[in-house]
Amino acid sequence: MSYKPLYFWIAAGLLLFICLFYSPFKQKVEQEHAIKLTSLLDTEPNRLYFLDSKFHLDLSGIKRLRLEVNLTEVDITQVHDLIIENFTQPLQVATTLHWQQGGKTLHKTINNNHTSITPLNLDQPTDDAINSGIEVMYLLVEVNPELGTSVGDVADYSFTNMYLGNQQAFKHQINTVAQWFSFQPLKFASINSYTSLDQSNSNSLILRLGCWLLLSGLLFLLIKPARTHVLIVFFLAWVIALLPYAYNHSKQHQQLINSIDPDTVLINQIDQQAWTVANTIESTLPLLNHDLSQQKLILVGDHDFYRLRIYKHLLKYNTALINIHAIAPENLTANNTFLLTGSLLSICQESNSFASLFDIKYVAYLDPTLCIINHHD
Amino acid sequence: MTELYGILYGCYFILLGGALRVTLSQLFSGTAIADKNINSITHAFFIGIVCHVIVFNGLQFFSLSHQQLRWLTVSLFCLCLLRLTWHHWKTPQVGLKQQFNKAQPLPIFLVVCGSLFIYWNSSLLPNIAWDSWAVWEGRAEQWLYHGLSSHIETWPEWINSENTLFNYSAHYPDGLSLVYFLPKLFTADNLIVTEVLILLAYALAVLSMAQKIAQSGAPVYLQLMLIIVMYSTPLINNHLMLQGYADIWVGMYILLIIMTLFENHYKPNLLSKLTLLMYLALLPMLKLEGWVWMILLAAAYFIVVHTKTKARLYMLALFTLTAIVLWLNGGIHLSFSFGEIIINKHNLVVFNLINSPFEFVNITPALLSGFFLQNNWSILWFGLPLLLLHGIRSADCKATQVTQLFFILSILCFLFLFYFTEASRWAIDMTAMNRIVLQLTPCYIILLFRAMTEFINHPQPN
Repeated sequence: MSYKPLYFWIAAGLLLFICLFYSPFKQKVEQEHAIKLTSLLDTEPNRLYFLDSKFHLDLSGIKRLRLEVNLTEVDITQVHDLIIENFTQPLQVATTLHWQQGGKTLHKTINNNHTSITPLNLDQPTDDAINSGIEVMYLLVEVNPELGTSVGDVADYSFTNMYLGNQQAFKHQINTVAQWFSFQPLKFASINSYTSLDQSNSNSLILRLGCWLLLSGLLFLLIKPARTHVLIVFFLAWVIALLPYAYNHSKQHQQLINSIDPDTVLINQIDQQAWTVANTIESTLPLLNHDLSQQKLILVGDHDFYRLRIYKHLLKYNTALINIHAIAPENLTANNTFLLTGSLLSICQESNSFASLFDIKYVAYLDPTLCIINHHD
Repeated sequence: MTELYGILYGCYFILLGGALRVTLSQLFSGTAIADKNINSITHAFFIGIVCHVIVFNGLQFFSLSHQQLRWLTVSLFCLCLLRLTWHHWKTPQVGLKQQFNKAQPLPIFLVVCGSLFIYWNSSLLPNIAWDSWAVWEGRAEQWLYHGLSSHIETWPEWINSENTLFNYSAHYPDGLSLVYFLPKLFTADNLIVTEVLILLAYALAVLSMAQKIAQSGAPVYLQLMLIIVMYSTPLINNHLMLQGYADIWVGMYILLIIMTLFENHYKPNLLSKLTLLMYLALLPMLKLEGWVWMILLAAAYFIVVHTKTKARLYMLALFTLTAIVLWLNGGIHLSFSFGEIIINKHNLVVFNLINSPFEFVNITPALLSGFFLQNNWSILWFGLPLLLLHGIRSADCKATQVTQLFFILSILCFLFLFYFTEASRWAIDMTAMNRIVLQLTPCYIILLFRAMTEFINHPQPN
């Protein structure tokens, strides 16, 4: 009987343990440098309160909440992570930490799990911001930032402690595993990558498994068991990577159930506003004696989400979306109806640099969300 | 109920492609194909999509009403059904039992589970990916409201003409939009129909992959592992869930091209060659990058199959010499009525495909992040060394050589594009770069599993 497979698997198992849990990146922990944020947080009155040994954030009736962090005279170069203990965050809520350093605004999405550890690298800022201090820091809590029209229950946003510091060494391995199971929500950018850049960190499970594959390959060359064993190593690594993925998939299911209304095709709350504006256009233009089948509707502005969704809701008409700089004076004819929204509404209200293009006297309709201009005779 | 429409839509493609394959087979080889295995159904399905896109592209030249289009589609469906029924009646059939062996229920079961795993989330989602609702599905919606023959243009053409519609990506090919268009003609709840369709397409492609590696000697556990990999690669799953982008379709067609290449290598016949040509023809109808993949595949095939080592060296010398002469003469500038080709020290312009100045941008951090840190591909790309080693070992198989050469050329093209042109911005902001990799990933996976199969079947040196 050959003992090669046995030797191979004992060594491979040991290597797997080392690769998964060894931490070469963390410096010696110095807890005295930790900056407790709970006492530095500043927000609207009664939004943040302490009850049953936990801090609770009241998110009812709001979409965004900014928590200012007063960081004057604090040396932040000794801290590496934002740590939130006993963190409970609803799946349709996202928290991001924003800070200004060396004239640049940086941000990081906070990992959503029970002990949330988010590496910040505050002491390694961008190239032109080395050694520069933190100027402004705040936490932004957003309900339904991208996906979903229904808010659901967002009452339970709570934590026991929040600080900038270094995770405790003895807890490190457990916390590393916990970070692999951080919730990665479905969002627009999910079509481009599975996790966003600011959530991929040095604790990457994939890199650790890659190291294990490499070492197991070398071990295979050394011990020479049957070739099937090296494939089993690959499959085992795949299954290990599959566990957090499958767990996250089930969390995403909860996210969708909580936030998406099955009876609507609308994507989110901004889309609801876009839908309302599109309906206003549809109902208003006939009242202005405009035959919609003969008109070209020109939605003016950037290709941002809000305007693109209005464009999408108006596809049944001959509609275009174009930046104001592309419009020439000869385009201002009776057959072209211009639709202005958002910041461009000011064109209809006061004279400004675009006044030479659009004449206020041709404003046919104006409300706080929409302006319709048609250069009829 | 809407899910059934999706399956029916899949059957429409299978009938369309099946009837065409049967007819072509009889026309060119005099014998009718009699097998009804997964591989044939997969080819029928994907050829059906090619036919649909070509037929509906043709119908855009006629001003047909939606009612006429519905009748035409139903007639086409019935005609294909009749053709296949006639074929079934006239041709001696190989029994189903002989075509489905005992090992197959397990892969089929796993594929069904994988599809349900994705559908569990995707059925809850509206169409959320931007280019999907604004461009690919968006154009189908424009045809639905204004007629299939409507011209869709970008701003300068649209504002100066009377009977055109606007889309900011009007220059994108029509293929995927035409796949979205037909369900819109028949049902209001069409997003579920196309979701079921894409899952069906993917399931057929995966089952064919499993069958292909089984034919090359892979044990059942390896086939099952392939299916698990195909249904748990995170970014692939995201593209199956957030439907509407063409990348996953391009990926599936490249995969089918590779599989057909191997089929033709082991059993050369005219039907395989025609199938190959049809798949190649669809690539540029799905995405602009399709042109690049089509040219690279054709080039790899020509170099490997139709030239010998000496001729390859001459070609390489000629290519290098031409490049040097062009470089010294200030580059190349060709103008056609449909576009320009400009290649010089400062600019690269190739029709609508690319128009960019040359500039080096270091995208290595973004590249490594996309491959290894964002969990887009799990541990998939750590298998690359095995694949390269396998390529060197199996130098005698022409199909493997074509595939390997295509793969290497594609990677070089990809790196050139992102390091030296304006496309680098899509690498840095992590938008298109991973999607380009996605287009090559199914092809990479089958090559990797073929390499694994040969690795375990190869006699081990003591």
